[in-house]
Amino acid sequence: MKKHVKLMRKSRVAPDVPNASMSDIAFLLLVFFMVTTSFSVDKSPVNLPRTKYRTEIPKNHEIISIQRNGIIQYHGDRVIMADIQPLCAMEVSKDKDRIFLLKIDKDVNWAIVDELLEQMRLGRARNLSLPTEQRIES
Amino acid sequence: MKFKRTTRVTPDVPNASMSDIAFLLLIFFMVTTAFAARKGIDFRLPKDSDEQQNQEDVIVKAITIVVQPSGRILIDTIPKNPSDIQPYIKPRIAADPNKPVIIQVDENATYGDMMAVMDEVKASEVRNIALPSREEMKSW
Repeated sequence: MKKHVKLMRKSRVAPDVPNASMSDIAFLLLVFFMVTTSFSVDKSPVNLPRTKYRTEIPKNHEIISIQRNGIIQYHGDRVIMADIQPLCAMEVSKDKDRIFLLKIDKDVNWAIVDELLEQMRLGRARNLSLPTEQRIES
Repeated sequence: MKFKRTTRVTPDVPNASMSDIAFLLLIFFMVTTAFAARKGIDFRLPKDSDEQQNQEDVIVKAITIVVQPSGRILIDTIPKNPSDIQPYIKPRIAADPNKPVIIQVDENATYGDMMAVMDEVKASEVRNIALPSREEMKSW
């Protein structure tokens, strides 16, 4: 007579993705984004020029932007060229070393930029920052 | 007399939805975050009084770069490429650190054309950069 060998049933481990630390990771990322987020007032669509030489731009500044189609904005509000001089003069009267950040599209005609710089000079603005994107050598 | 034991409910802050809230906030911040461009080129506009001082002397001494439409450039009237700016300027600045560089931009050139030149000039460690307006150029 044949003897039946009793096989032990293997203990099955249910497949499981460990998710105990998921909330920790979520909070870590949350804190990271909360710290690094800066809600910029100026959201104008500007294609900045690319340069190799770049320095840090100080945080407190006035933002003037010129879009490709020539639209000028001051802190996100649309202005005309004639407004630039009094706006600059007002800011410089509060702080003579006020920094003006010029977000200008790389395809803007120089004649417009030249006029802007002239208006700013008449408004006694001196310190300019020209933000750029990083140029990577191929 | 036997008193019934009262069932005690242990105090507990419900935290089952905490991870949902965290993920919700996480997605909000990921979507709204804009890493602002915090680097660029600094530049100082001249004061009115700066213009008067030995303007003719400065023009004679200076290296002049003309930026033409579509990015063509002339350095001291010789046609060159933007990549030639640094090799041309650096030895001259080493000899005279206060040597001015004048960037004359054609009105039909673009801001990007000017910035390409400004990038090379700044990288050449030039201290004295002039960006004359059209009105100033007319007076020269």
